[in-house]
Amino acid sequence: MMMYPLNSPDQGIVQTVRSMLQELLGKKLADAVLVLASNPWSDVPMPTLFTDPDRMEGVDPLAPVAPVSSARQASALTRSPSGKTVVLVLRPCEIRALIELVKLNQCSLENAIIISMDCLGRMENKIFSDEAKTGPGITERFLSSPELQGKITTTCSTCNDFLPENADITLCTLGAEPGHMGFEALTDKGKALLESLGFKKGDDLPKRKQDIAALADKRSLSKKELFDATALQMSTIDGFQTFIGRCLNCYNCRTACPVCYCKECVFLTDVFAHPPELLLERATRRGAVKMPTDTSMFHLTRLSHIGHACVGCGQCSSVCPSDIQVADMFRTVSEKTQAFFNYTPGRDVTEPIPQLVVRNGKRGD
Amino acid sequence: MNIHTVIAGAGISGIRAAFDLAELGHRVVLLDKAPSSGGILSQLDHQFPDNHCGMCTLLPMIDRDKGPQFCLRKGIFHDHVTFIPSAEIVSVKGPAGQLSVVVEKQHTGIDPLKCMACGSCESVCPVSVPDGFNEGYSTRKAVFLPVPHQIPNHRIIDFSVCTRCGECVKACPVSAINLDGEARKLEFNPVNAVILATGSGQYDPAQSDLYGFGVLPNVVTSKGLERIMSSSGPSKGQLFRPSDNKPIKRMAFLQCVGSRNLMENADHCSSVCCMFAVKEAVMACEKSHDDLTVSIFYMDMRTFGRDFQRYKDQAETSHGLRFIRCRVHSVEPCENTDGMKISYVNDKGMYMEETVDLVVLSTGKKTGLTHPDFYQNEGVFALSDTFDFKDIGESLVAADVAAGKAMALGGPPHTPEQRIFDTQRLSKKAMPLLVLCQCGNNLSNDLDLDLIESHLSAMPGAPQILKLEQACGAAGFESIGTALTSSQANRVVIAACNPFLFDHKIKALARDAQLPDGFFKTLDMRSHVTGKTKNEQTQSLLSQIKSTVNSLNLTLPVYREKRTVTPSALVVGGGPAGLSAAFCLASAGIDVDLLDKESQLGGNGIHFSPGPEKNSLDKLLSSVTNHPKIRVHPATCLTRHQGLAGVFTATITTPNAVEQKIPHGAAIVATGGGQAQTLDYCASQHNGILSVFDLAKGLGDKTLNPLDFSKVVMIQCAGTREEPRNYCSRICCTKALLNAIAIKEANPSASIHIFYRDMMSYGESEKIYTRARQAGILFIPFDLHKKPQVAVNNQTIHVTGFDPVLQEDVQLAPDLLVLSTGIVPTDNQIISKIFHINTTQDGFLKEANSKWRPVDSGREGIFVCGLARAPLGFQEAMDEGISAAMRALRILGRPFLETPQVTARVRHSLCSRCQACIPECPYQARYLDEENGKIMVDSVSCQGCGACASLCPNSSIMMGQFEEKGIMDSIEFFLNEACP
Repeated sequence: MMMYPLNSPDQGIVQTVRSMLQELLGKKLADAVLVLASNPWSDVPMPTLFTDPDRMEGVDPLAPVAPVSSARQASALTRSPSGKTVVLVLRPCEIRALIELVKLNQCSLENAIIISMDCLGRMENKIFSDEAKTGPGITERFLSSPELQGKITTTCSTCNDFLPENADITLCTLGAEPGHMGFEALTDKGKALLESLGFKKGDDLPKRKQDIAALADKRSLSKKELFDATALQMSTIDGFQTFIGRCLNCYNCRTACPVCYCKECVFLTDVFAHPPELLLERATRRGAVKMPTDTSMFHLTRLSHIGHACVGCGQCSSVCPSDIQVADMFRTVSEKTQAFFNYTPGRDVTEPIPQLVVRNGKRGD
Repeated sequence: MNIHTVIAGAGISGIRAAFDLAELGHRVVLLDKAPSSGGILSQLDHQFPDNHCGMCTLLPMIDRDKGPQFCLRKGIFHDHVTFIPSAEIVSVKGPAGQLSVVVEKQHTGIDPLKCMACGSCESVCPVSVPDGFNEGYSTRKAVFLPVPHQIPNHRIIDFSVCTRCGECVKACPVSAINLDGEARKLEFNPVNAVILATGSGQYDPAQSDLYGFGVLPNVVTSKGLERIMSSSGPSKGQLFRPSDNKPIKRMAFLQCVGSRNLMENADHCSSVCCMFAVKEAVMACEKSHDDLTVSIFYMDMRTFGRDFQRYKDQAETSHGLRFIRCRVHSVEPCENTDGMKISYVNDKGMYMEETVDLVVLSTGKKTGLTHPDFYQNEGVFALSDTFDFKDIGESLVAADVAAGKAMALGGPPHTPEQRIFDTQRLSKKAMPLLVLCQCGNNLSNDLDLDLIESHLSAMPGAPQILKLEQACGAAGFESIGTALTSSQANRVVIAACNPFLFDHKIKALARDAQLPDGFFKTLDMRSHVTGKTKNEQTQSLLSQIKSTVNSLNLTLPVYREKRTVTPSALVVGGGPAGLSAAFCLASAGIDVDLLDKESQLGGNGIHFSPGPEKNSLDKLLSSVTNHPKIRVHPATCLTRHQGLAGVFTATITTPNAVEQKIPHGAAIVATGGGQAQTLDYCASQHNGILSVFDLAKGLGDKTLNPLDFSKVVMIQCAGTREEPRNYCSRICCTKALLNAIAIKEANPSASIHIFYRDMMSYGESEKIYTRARQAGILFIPFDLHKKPQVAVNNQTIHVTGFDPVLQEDVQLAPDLLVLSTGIVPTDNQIISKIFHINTTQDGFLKEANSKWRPVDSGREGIFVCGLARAPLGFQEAMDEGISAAMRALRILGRPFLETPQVTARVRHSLCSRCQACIPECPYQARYLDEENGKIMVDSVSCQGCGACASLCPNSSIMMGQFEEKGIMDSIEFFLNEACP
């Protein structure tokens, strides 16, 4: 691993990274860049695909918000070979989701360069929007303000997977003063790219290890608390029913989920399009039945279908109109599923998906 | 309907021959002397290399709706095969093609038409005798089920032990028992052919008193051990010692009991016992979680099949099996325990003794069996080596060869049944007819059919109900037929007995009503008689009826692809296997394109010296080259192969570089192999060092003179049977023995030493080994860690080897050193890519299943045979060619291929093209249509196993008749019953 320091106290980190991406397109080191950028039409930055360096004034990859998981957008870009080199600027959880999608042949990283960052978390859209309105430079303010950093989502504040894996380049925000951060090349591809942009190798960031460890400890502790509390809440069938009691079958969580990749969800097919007789029969069976029906079935199906692949991005909770903490449930259950199969989603593109492993043997083997 | 062939013997060979002919559209009668089918394999549950059963792999794969796809251990069900148990052929008369075959069917005491398999007779029978099915390790009554899991499960009476007390007659609720019946004669006339697949028996070790079989309870035969370990055996699969049911800690296998023994007049090898013992040893170790020491006392470990050596090595390393080369003289009982003492001499020449808990005798084949007097009649074909033990794969090949001969006698061409469907009736809303069988009022104490009737009548979309006293009789089926004609019902549920019992009658009903077979469902009412209250049992049956009616209502007609078959074949490779395949196909009226990369046909056969093999090959060559149906393409390469079974296209490049496209329906790959080269033993350093094959050729064509050699040394397994070429080449030992005998006979003063690891003179070639020893040829065994050393100094060959008898090195300076280098396949890299078929780690073409589908490649319509697949002898290669041709004829012999009822279908709107299903399909029936970006199913190759459906992460795979909606609704119905 190699550190390429950034010395830009005057310019600010946002502008430094923006210039770097502009130069990358300008020097034709890539054909396009997918990155978070503010735009005139929404109060939060959205993933944006750039080919013209002159249009990149709103680029803001470190903005503490993610209105949508960029993994889905990245997969749409690389679903079939386009022959173009695309730079994808992604959060660590987005890379993990993308790796899961690669395993399922939904996209390919062959012509992609991934740039990521130490992730300090994201805020819910509304909170971000309110904070952004209080003054300029929300991203820079966030990076230096522990108070603002305290406003990130529950999922982010309980996430200890904040360092990217499988990226080519990481922007190291931990262990450095603003203005003295650095790029770390994680692959040969990343190293070559940084060097063609004129970056020079330098010293490691002195406080990095220490800062990482401190954050990891803090996050792990709060994660354990959250998971314990959630597990307790869901330890009975009643508890589980109560947890999702307000579910209205809007399927927002499914739409927002970066690893929920089915082309057509089974809940939209005729399998769950019940005739009135069946609904009446169910009601007759128990005397009363809560509507809409199949909400438990929906969450249980999703848990069993993609629980192994949950990367803990928290988008499902963010989009729930009923304020169900879907992500808490998913992450708590998935941790156990993943441990059972000794599987870590997004860790390694060659690690097979447990459900797709066929072992020949006798029953009981 | 005319019977084409009567097959005697319903072991796996008989079953295979029956299915071969049935798949060609012929009607077959299959009979067995025993009261059940399956032969010896009905008692053997596990087969190496995977130690699974797999017998169902034999079921027809083309047009598989001709019979239920059902465990073959339970019985044989196929529209074209009539199985008659307890029957034998007594006479065969008339000319081939118009035989009159008389069969005697034993009286078994119970009328299968009346018996409803309740078992009351067995429970009152006072007789108790050892049960032959479990080799005497359990008991049975005089009225019993010969194979406990067979269907139909009518019992039979063993009149040799029956006391005729009459208790069973009194107990039978349906008067199905008659103790005084006689054998019946059945005549089949005209019959085209008779196949004898009667098999061999096992040597009875009680004949010899050395091993104490029959006296010492813990001396068992290998078949006995198989029963002791079987989950359908006396201890339900636990490995216990018979005398006291204690766990076994030490076990010894004694090989060659009743085989390779001149004293017993058994100068033969029984071929299968070595691998059988290794397999059983592995199973025993697995059962006892390796808390078991197994010693195998052997003379030669005959691991002569392509993959056997690695299996044996694996067993040795992973389970610590001890292989001890010594023939044990006798087994003695230990005092005061049930253990036994075995004494032997080890490889250091030391006298050893050990105590074991169980002795397993690897008993060979029975000798002295004779063919019936009609054996040589025209039109009667016995399986080659019919009294020999053979590996399963070889038995099937032999069955194919016999079926091929029967087929050659003609018969009507395959005319598939033309089904007409009543589209008007089918397009209407689902209207179910429910048939309730009262089983002659036998069920009235257990099930309340009136309640069911009244409940169902109240259900929305109530089925029409037809209550019958007995559905299974002729009158019953007639009533169902009438009900279907007079109503508009388009789905039928029959609540009666085991569905497999009258499958063909239901198919006839479906045909008459012009409805798909899949629109008829049978459910077994008796399975609900579980000993609970009548009301509970009735409710349970009601749930099943409701869910069955409901799921059937949701079943829609399957789209059936009708693929017109290109009635010609492609054969790649013109050696013995390819030639015999081409000739067999052409004789059956199929056009054949025969390709060879060489300009001359014959493969390895062109090197044959004059003799019977050469004569036989020359005859075949001239038949092939003169056959009007065979087009030979010499010096031609195959460059591309596309398409699906029945509709392939090959692209070939002729010698003058012209590309040509050849459409065909099936392809046979017989690209051959040749002798291996080795660098071991100074192979290329002296012109007195030859390979076994070169010596045979030289002696045959007289370019080498035996009188020129006074001292000959032969080294077997040179560069083979060890990694990286860890397989036996099967033919070198016999070739070496014949070479040695030829030299010794022409030059008696020559000294001949053969260094060997295990002499692989399997089957009757054991006699050659005996002859060689009698001729004074000296045999010195060696181990891999003490191989003979060869050096060439001053133009002299020096061989030094360790003699375990003398316990010291012997030094020889031969003028001829012969190396058995073995066989390697032709480079199959390109051919396997062209055909999308697999190779083994040694580069042989890999068959779908070495036991049950020995010449099928993984892809339907492509077959592999000959040396390209495995090392083989000349005759064996020709037989495999015929076997491959017979498999190809299943496709080529019919005008079109049709999608069966249950196949996988892709719902493209759900499929995410992750392609996980493609490598996991066991039949290679799935592929990506790159042009349309869709995952496709070859509906002819698909066997409806559902592996893809269980794997698919998007539930995009629908199995015909197992649609998700129907299953969810069934669950809903059962939930209703569970929480009323």
